[in-house]
Amino acid sequence: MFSLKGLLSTLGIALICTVVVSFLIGLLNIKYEFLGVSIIFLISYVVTGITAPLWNPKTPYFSSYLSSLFLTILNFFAALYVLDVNVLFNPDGVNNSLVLSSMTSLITTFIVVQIMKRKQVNKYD
Amino acid sequence: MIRDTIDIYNRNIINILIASILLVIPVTFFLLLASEYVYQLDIDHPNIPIFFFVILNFTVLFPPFFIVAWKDQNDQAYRWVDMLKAFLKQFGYVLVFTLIFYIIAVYGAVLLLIPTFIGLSMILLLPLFVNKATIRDSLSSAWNILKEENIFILIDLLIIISLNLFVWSGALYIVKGFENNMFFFIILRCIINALVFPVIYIYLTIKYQRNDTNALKGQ
Repeated sequence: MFSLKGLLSTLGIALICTVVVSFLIGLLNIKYEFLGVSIIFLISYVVTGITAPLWNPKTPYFSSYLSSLFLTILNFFAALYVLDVNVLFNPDGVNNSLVLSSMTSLITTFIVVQIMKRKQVNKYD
Repeated sequence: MIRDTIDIYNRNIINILIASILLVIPVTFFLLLASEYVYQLDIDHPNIPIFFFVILNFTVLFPPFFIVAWKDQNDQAYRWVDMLKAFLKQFGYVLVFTLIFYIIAVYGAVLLLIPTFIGLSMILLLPLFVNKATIRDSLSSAWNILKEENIFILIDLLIIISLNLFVWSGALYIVKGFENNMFFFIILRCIINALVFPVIYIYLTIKYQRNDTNALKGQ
């Protein structure tokens, strides 16, 4: 059964990782904009993909998909209200970012689920 | 009750210090920097998100110290890694429900402040019950405590606020002659939070969770 608590934990740990990584990027003074943005993107969605099957073992794919969608929408709102970037006026960009983020976390979830299955099989052998 | 609180604080001082350095000081630092950033933005009422950050600073740090107090009361062993794990696991849950009850408290102020009191009491009580198995369990047990104690929870709230104000004004009285900037005040606030918060958490846990043996079942 799907547990909302696991979904909320996944969201929380992704937010914590984003904060810590962006602090480190600012501290190490990485000046290439694309590199910094892609590091933050990769780390937040890969962490989402890894932690979704750990805290939601019955429905890992749905949980990782929902949490990545939720994080993307949070990013849109932050860009709209905090940074004053009009994201929603560019439908292609919205489409691209939704597909990229959910694909990243779903692929990571697939790999983690395969590894967990392999571990289970090895345990009973 | 205060004697028990000081007793538990004294017995677990090493773990509390580790958790203060690893959790309380960084979380307070980041949240106060975020509130400074919000203050510099051009929005209508910057005080509403800033007060939300102050409340979040209190509620998010509750689960690790809840584990300290509860395990000490029930004679169980734990390590400091458990506190870190509890913080990472319960962060999103506490964040979302604090946001929901804070919105109720702020926008319910029109209705004669009644939703404000209910929302603030739920914000105070909900982190005590986050370790239950399901969300419905934790919400209903917090609501039951709210119905039993009703107005006396506000006295606890008053104790917490006045303790914070007392320590903060004492610290400001000491440093009032110096030339200070924003970072100094943020670091002072971090150190004061590391001193005061564990006492409040352990006091609340002893008061409301003493006999609940199923409190960590969902962990």
